[in-house]
Amino acid sequence: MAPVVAEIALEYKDTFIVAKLNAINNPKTSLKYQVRGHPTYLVFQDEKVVKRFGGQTPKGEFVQNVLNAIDVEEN
Amino acid sequence: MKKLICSLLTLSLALFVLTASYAQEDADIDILRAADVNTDGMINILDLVLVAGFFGETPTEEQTLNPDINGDGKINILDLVLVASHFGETVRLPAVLEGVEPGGGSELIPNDSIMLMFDHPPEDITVSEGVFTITDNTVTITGPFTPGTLELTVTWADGSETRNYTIRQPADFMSSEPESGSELIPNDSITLTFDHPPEDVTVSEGVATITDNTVTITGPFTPGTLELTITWADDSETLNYTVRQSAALERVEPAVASELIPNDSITLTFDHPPEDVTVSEGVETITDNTVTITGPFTPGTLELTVTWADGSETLDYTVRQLVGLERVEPTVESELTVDGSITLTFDNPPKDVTVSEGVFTITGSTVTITGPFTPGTLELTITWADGSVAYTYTVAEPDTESPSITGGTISDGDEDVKAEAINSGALIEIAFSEEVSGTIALQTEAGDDVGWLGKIEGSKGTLELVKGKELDPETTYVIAGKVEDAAGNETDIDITFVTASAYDGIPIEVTDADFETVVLGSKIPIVVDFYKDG
Repeated sequence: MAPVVAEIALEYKDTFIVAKLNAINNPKTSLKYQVRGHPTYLVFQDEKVVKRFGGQTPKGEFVQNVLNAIDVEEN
Repeated sequence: MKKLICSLLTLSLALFVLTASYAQEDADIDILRAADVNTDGMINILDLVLVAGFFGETPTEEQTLNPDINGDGKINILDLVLVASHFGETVRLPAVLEGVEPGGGSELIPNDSIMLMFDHPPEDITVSEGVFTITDNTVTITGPFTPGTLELTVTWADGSETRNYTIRQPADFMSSEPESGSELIPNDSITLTFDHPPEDVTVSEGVATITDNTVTITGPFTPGTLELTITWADDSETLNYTVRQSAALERVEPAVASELIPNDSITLTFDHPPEDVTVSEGVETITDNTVTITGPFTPGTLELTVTWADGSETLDYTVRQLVGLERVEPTVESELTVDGSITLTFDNPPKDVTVSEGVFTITGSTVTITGPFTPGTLELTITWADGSVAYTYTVAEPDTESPSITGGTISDGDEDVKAEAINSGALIEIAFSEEVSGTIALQTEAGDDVGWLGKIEGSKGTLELVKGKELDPETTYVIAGKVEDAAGNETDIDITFVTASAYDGIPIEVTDADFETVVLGSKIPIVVDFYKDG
C-alpha cells in the first residue's frame, strides 16, 4: 500500500499533505485516536478528524475519501 | 476669909431662895453654861465654891475654868448671885461640830449624803438643803441635792456651819459601739456613751479617752475573749467581745500595674485569714490566708478594689485582649526551601514571641519566620504570650541543579525539520525540567532575531510565529536564550536546527512529540497514515 500512498502524496501535494506515524513507536497518538488496525488513515482538517478509513483501499477510493472529507472536488 | 466665904454663901443662898423661881423661867443657856463653871452639867455648890475661890480676882485668859459668870472682868458678888440663882439646875452641854464627811469643797452626786459629827448630840437642827437624821452625835443629811453648787448651811442650837459642795450629775451608761458580744480586731476602738460625762474612769484593757459623754477605749486588744470592765465614779459595766486577729495584706501576685489577660487570676496573700471579702470585679475564692480573684476581666484598664473586714486595697492592672492565631502560610507539613519563610497571621499583635528555629520579625499582627532552616524535618514551635503551636515542615535540600530542556518541537541538531509543518502550526515549544523564567528567541545562524514572539511561562518556552516571519526551508536556525529556576540556577538555551527542503509530495514522518504541532496545527488538510513497522 505504501507505494500507493506515496504516489497519492506526490500527485495531490498541492491539495493535502500526507504524513506517516509509526504506531508502534508512538503509541500515545494511536491510543488517543483509538487506532487499532493498520494501516489506518485519519484525515485532519482544522484540528479535527474529518474522515477515518483503513485497510487495503484502492487508490481511487482513497483519493475520493480524502477529497470528500476535505470538501474538494477533483478536476 | 472663911467668914467672908461663909457670908457669901449664905448671901448667895438667900439670893437663890429669893430669885429661884424667876431665874428658872428666864434662864439663858449662856448664863447657865457660864454658871456651870466646872462644866459638869450641874449648877451646884461646886460652882459656887469655884466662884468664891476666885472672888475678887480678875480672870486670866489662861484659866480653863472661868468663874466670871457675867463676863464683866471681875469675879464678885454678881457672879455668886448668878450661880446661886440657877443653883440646882442642869445645864445642857453645847454641841460642837467636830467633823464633816465629805469635807467642804468635795464633789458630790445628788443622792450622796453628808455626815456632820458633833461632840454631843446637837439640838434644834435645820439644814438649808436635803433631809437630816440624827443618830447620837451624828447628823446625816441626804439629798437629792440639786446639781451645781451646794451651799449647805446646818444650824443647830449651838451654832451653825456652812459648807460648800459641788453636786455633779451622775453618769449612767447608755450604750457601747460596737455592742457587747461583737467581734473586734486588736486595734479596734470601743465607744461607750453615757448620759452625762463620767468621772474617774478606769478600764480593764486598752486606753480610755473621755470626751464629754463619751469614753473611747482603744486597743491593741489581745486576740481571744475580751472581758472589758469599765469603772467610773458612779458605776461599772462589763462588756464581752471576741477579738480576732486582723488580716493585713502582705503581697499581690501578679504585681500591681502588670498586664493581664481576661482569664488570668490575681492572688492576694494576707498575714491572717481575711473576713468579709468583696471584690469589684471577678470572683473571689478564699483559702486560709489567700484570696484568689479570677476573671474573666474586661479588656482595658482594670481598677480592682478588694475590701475585707480590716481594710481595702485598690489594684490597677491593664487587661489586654487575648491574641489568637488565624492562619499560617505555607500550609503545615508542606515543603520549604532552606531560605524559605513561614508567615503566621494573628487576630491581634502578639507579644513575647519566640520561635524554636529561624529568625522572626513582627509586623502588626503578622510574624514572619525566616531561615536558613536545616534540610530535613523541621519541627517548629512558635510561642507567644497567649499560646503556642508546633508545626512540622520538610525543608528541601538546596536546589543547585540547573534547569534542563526535556523535550519540545525541535531538538538541538535536528535536520530536515519540516518548515511547512512548523509554519502551519505557527508554534515551536520547548519543555524544561522545572519552572523557569527567562528569555527565548528564534535567531538566524548569524544571530539575528527572526521575529518570532518568545515567551517563558512555567516549565515551557514558546516561540510564536509572527505572520510573514515563517521558517524558510533548508535554513539553519538557532533557538537562543537563558532561563533560571527559582533557586537562581541558570541554563543557556542553544538549539540549532536545519529546516528541510519544501514539501515535495513525499510523506512526512511525524511522532507523538510533534503530532500536535505538525498535524493539528496544520493549516492544510493532512492525511495521517498510522502504519506498523514491516
